[in-house]
Amino acid sequence: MLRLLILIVLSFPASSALTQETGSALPYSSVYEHERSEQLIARGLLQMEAEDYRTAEKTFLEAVQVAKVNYGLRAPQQRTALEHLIEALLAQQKWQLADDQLSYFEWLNDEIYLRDFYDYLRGTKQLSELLYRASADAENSNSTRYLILAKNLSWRAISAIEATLGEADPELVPWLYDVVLAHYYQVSLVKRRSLLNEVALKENSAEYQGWTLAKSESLRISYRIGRDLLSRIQQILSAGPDSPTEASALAVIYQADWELLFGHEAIAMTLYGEANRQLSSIGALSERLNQLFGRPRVLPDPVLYTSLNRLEAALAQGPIQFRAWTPNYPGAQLPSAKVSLADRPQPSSALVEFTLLPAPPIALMGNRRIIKLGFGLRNVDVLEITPQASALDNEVRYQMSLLQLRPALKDGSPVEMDGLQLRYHFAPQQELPNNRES
Amino acid sequence: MPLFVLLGWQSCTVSPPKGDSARLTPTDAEVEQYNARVAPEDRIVCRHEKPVGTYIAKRVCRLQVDVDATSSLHRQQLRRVLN
Repeated sequence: MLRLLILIVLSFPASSALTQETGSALPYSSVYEHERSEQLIARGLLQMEAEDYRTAEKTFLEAVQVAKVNYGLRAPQQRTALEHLIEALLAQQKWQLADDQLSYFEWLNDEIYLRDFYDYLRGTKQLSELLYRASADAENSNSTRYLILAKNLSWRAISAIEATLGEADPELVPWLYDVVLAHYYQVSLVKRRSLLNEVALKENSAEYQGWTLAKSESLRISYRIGRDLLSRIQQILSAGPDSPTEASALAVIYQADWELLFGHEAIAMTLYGEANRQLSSIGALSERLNQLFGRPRVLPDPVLYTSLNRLEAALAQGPIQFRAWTPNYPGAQLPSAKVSLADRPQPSSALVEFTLLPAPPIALMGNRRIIKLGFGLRNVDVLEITPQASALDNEVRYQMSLLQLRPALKDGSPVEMDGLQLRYHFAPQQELPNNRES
Repeated sequence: MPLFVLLGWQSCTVSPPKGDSARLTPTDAEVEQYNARVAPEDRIVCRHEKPVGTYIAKRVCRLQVDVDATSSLHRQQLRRVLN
């Protein structure tokens, strides 16, 4: 009895001191209240909005602890708080701490794999988006590492799906396409500008100015992996339960896009023709197909559409919208809103009008080291820039030259298109000429 | 008797692997998928190598640690010969 009394007396000041130390209005025992984790997350989000990242970090850390206490050490309910905590750490550029939390997230997700496979996949997607976000930060000197980590994570998800659902399950498709996109981002690293790679070439009284690109085995490997995975996606979709011919024909379009991105124009045109033929064979009217292929898209498409209706819905009227993702991956568009650096200001945007050529000039079809500016595009005219600055004009033209558009097709054959408009939104953290001057 | 000879001959023959000979080594995608789920010391690399005595390169896949160890052994041997 005496021992019990001593214990009560000793424990009282300790708990009140802890309450004072955390500065919280709620008593210590309230960590066992289920709502508290959600309340803390809501509070942390408000702090993030006010750009008070340091306080937000503490709030989210507390939310993770509360979730651990309430739901268990291996509970998936920790993930939401953990996701925001990593976002707060990334916003403060605390790379090492973010790394630790990312590792913890991965460990937690692996634990979930044994209990709930589909929840594991949801967690993997969440983690993959966080890794992409980390890889997009231009301030992070180790950004490429996160890209490789994201790619490896997708591969592990593929292995898990193969082991659980089988090697031809449609659940594989988005993950395989994720790896394809990761390879495109990896390849886009060679488009980064440096002081040394601007060159000029004179050939038969024609002068070209451009940028040399590194040609290495890694480029060829990325091409081969992307080609193999797209072919596998096409095979999976052609054996799928919902309108397999339509899905398979659309997958051929993505195969054609990949060939075009790597400069294999002849193969790409054959594949576009093949996709058109397959879609016609299942009853798609030629007017509908001409309308569909008359609205070019910037490649690679961040989403793999497996139904014609969904692809049509994604092709908005008016200028083509292009949101550059990050200066780290030149010419790559924002994959999804979840990976955008929303906490960074959008510097500028421009409206550009141009002519899209059916195929690049013959001179470019060879295996040349110089990629000329204006590849596939002609008569590029900058209609407006927001904010107005003449120095941005050249920058817009340069950024446009890094884009590859899906050609306009009529009855399966490429045609020239005049007066196309594209709204180019510069990437957050993009160093623009007027910014440099200031 | 001819039946026994035939059975004996059949059991001695080895049927060649089916399919394209290039598929004897894993594809780049398979290598990448494998490497994503193993520890760094168990990762494999595939590359084209020209064996001594021929100009025809062939694709060889080996453990990365194996490649590193062989390279270091060859460097040591070369150093010994040169000194």
